[in-house]
Amino acid sequence: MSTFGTMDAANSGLVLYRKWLDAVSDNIANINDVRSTSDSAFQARYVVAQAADYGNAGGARVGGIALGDAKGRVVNQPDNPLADAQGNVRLPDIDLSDQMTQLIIAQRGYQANLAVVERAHDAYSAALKLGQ
Amino acid sequence: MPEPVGDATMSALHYALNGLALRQRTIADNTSNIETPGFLAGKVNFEDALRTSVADGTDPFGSSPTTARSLEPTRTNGNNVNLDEETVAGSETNLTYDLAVQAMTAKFQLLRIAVGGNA
Repeated sequence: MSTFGTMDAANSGLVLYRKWLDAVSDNIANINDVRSTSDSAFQARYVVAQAADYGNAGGARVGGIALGDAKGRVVNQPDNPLADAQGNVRLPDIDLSDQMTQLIIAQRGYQANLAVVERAHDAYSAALKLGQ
Repeated sequence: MPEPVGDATMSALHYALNGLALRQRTIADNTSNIETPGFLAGKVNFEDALRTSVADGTDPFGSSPTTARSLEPTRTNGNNVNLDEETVAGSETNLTYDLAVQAMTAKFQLLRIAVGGNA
């Protein structure tokens, strides 16, 4: 346990949710990626949270990344330069409303951890003034 | 004759500060794991041990604060951290921590008067 352990635990939460936000923004940025049907579609990334040291208040970390469907959805776009002989292309199977939900989860998680950082700061400031 | 600096009051306050610091850290841990599948919220208890040792006149540092896992119902991902609960507990812990620091500071001021310095 470091000197400012509460800060470390809250900071690990900030890092986790920042990465979560990064993953969501990347998913949304690639929501209209077009691929040829011979390639796999863009796969959305979902952050899976994990306790860093479960039982010892060690904070959280990214435990892994769950990937979206590689098959995506095949759409008929004959005019698309990437279309195959049948005029089909592959688009990612990403639902924007699902991504917005993920975005809000990540944003609120970040805010909650930031509030803990501020509170930890107040407590440690009080401790440093002890005896004055 | 009791020790002037490390008396029972100081010892109890010191123990309370340790317990409150651990609780604050556990709240930070719970908050950072609010979306972790299978995570059960940690709950720190030091008051019971402190109350017993103050009543019995024993050294509170004979025992350590304990962290139990919450047995509240979980969400579908097996997690049972409640953000509202953690936020309220965080504010309360902070205020209690401030209170213990103030009590300790008051105690130091008394000592300062006793040793002839200016309070």
